[in-house]
Amino acid sequence: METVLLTTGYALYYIIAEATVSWSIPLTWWGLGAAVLVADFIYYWEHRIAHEMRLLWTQHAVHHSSRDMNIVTAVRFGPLEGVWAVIVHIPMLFMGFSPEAIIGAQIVVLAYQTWLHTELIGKLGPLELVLNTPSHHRVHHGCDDIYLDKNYAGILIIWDRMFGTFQEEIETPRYGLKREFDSQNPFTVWFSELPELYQNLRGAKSGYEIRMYLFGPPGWTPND
Amino acid sequence: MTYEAITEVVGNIDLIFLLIGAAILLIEIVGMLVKGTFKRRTLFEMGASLST
Repeated sequence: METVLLTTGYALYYIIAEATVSWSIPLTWWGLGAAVLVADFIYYWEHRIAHEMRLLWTQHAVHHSSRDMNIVTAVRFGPLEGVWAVIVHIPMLFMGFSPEAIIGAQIVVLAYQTWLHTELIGKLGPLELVLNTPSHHRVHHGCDDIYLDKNYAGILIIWDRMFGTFQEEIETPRYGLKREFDSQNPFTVWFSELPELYQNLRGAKSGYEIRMYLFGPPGWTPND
Repeated sequence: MTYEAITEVVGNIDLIFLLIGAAILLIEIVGMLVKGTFKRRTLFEMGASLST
């Protein structure tokens, strides 16, 4: 699914770039490095918004629904999660990055995160200051109150430190969703957030409530 | 830098992290088997993750 989305994304970027962008950052080593840096910054916001907007959370919750934290968790994604990733990187085209550089940078940012999903690796000294590490990412997967909505970074943890979402790992987190969810049925895992969203939308009494159920934070109620 | 060069660089980076991940996974599984914590639930949880 991710391959299909990346291919579609590449085609979309190419069409947009051909039609609208008249200048480009050269495809050099520094150009690719800059693309990775910008893509990592965008990833921080892509990821943060996926946690803060209910419609996107229905997809990203799949990644957080495992009670285990091991390498296999790294490949757990919502079926349409990549659509948001493709859209959110479009501004890079207008900065002059080529479609190849953008797709390449997205792959690097995602590939880096594979090794973060483990309890095997402890803290990594000074690297913890700059890089996202397994310790930082265990915090991100924690559902304890102190760990909720923290450490959104892809490669560089500095984004969390800059935007106030950093949390140090103090004790071993309890992993998974805040609500009780412990299914290993793939279909339940893929669509676990949708039934409640559907019920909320059916019960909505105004356009405002519909908008808030879709684009407000997960857990929003009309009483908030 | 050509398109082919970018593909090669990114492909190699992807491969490096894939290999690191595979090595960690192997150690994790061996560790769980040794400790006796590799249960049916763990296997099914992994299966659910891979299904996505």
